Amino acid sequence: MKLFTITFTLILFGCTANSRPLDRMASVIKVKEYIDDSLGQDEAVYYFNFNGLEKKHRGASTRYSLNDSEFVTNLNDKQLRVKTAPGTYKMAFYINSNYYEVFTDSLTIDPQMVQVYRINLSKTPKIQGKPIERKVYKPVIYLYPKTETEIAVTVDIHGMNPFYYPNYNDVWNVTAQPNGDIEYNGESYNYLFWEADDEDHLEEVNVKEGFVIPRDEAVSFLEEKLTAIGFNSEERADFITFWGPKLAVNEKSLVRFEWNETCDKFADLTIEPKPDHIYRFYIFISALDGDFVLPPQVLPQFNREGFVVLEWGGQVSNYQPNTSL
Amino acid sequence: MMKTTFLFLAFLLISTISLAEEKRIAASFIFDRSEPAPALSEDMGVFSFKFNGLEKEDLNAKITLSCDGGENETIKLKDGKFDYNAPAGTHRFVIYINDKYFELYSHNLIIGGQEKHFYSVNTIMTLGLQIEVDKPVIYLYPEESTSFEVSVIPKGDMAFTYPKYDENWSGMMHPNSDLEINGEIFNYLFWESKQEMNALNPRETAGFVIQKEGILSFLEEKLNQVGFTAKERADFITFWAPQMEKHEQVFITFHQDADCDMFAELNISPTPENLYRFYMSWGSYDGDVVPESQKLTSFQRSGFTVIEWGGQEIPTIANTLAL
Repeated sequence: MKLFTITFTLILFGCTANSRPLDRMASVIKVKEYIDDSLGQDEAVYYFNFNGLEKKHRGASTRYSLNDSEFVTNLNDKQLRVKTAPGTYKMAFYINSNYYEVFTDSLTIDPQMVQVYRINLSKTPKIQGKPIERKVYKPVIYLYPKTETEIAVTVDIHGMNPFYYPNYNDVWNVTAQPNGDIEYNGESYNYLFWEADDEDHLEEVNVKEGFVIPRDEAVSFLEEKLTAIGFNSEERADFITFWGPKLAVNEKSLVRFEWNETCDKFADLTIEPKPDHIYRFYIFISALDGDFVLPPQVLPQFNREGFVVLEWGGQVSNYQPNTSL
Repeated sequence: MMKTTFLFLAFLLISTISLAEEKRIAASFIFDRSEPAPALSEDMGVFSFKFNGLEKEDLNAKITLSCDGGENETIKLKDGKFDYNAPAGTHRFVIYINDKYFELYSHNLIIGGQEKHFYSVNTIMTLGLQIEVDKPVIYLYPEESTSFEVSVIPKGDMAFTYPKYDENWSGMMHPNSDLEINGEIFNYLFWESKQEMNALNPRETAGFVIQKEGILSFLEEKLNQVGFTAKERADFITFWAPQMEKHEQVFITFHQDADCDMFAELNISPTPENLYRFYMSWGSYDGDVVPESQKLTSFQRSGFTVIEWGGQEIPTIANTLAL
């Protein structure tokens, strides 16, 4: 009956119908392994630490399967301990309906070995919450030539499923004005826009510097930093009205910025004629659970003399700093 | 050092990445317990479903169920519960109670012979959902530079404003649409709020069903027709289109002008000659209902004109079961 070939859409705000980003996400990461002499030759222990677990679900009764056998046990705070015989196992974990089930590949463990894994939980969407963000950057590009100039802007996006606006055919050929107006196909725009699915950036870096921002400080934090860096008020408003609400949904957020060459990993940006300055500035945000302290990042300052190009973007991440190990 | 760490992490990521072969939606079917069911034959098991969140009058309702994509079956609930016999193995269920609740989809439920598995199933009402009214932005286009005051009274809690909102926004507005507030220049005023709304029902609401590939051109066409400028259109489209394109198909309905009072009252001083409000409600949609088409009115941009646009993503009732 064809009617049932439906995927998931409605209950879920529809956000998971195409779950490619979810499938691509690395959700089981080995953190360390060591030999424990106190274990017998026929014994081995797995520890799984669940990231992204809500406080109220710590210690929750959790179902898991080891190859074909199913078990139910309580978490020890955020951790599941599985003592088993040495061997190779495929596992699945299901805490409750607030989180997607997590499946592992084959994990091999030797006699007397202890392996510790981090498992990144993904929350299932809730009617009262925000839908899951796909892994996106949301860059807008502003052009400020010194005089009216014809400019070719090329973005070579490294992510998937790119979206462009206005319409992009290998290049945006535009005429830009010193006040930032961009004329393209007879229409006037403030910025060029692209977006794509990409990996979770914070999951890939070892976050050693950044900012911990409580909800009610989100706007003043962004205003202060963006002003100090050299955003003008229009750029700042575009940035804050996009990212501010994403910070404001979290009690507390971890914020980290990337700028300039570092952003080449998301997309190469080529501009002809060559600007005096190309500035790229990306924000990465994840909801923080619990206390966490970070040394602040030292941020750059933009020189806005001459022909200047500014791009900003960012990503909402599922990253949780590992405070339990 | 940083680089080594990164490579190491990347290696771990690649080596342990888990790929799904099928959609892994845990949804709202929660395993409770199992017990032996010796009365059944060896190759049969029984699922016992109990619904949470049903209204009293629906506790003994007739519901529609499909197991593994099979024919619809009508089943009468007893006190919010029912039992369903199934061959030992893996099964998937779609359950529809009535239009007060969203259809329920199970993940793969495994059952063995002579076993009884108890599941509690969380229902989700289609009424009174908490929805975020996203990104209304307000542009002011006066004929000459003059002071202004704008107040917004949303029908729900204000979640975010920019610039800072303190009973109102006030400052100087200029014909090029620059707004000067506390010495800073803004192009628009921005607010968001959380409000109670009902799910969209394409059977009862005029609107449009648009496939993923057609979303961008559909929005461009409608916004042009209504009279958005290229800049306003870019602000609207770059906000909404990427979110909408995550879905294979969407249902879209627009609200204009006085209808938008259901989201917020907007008071502007001096009184504009033309105030246009344009909101879009949309949701991912799997159904095949052809909704009644919607007529849109166009902006007249003469004199002091104010444009506001906003929108919200609202779960949409698909009624995919043939009823």
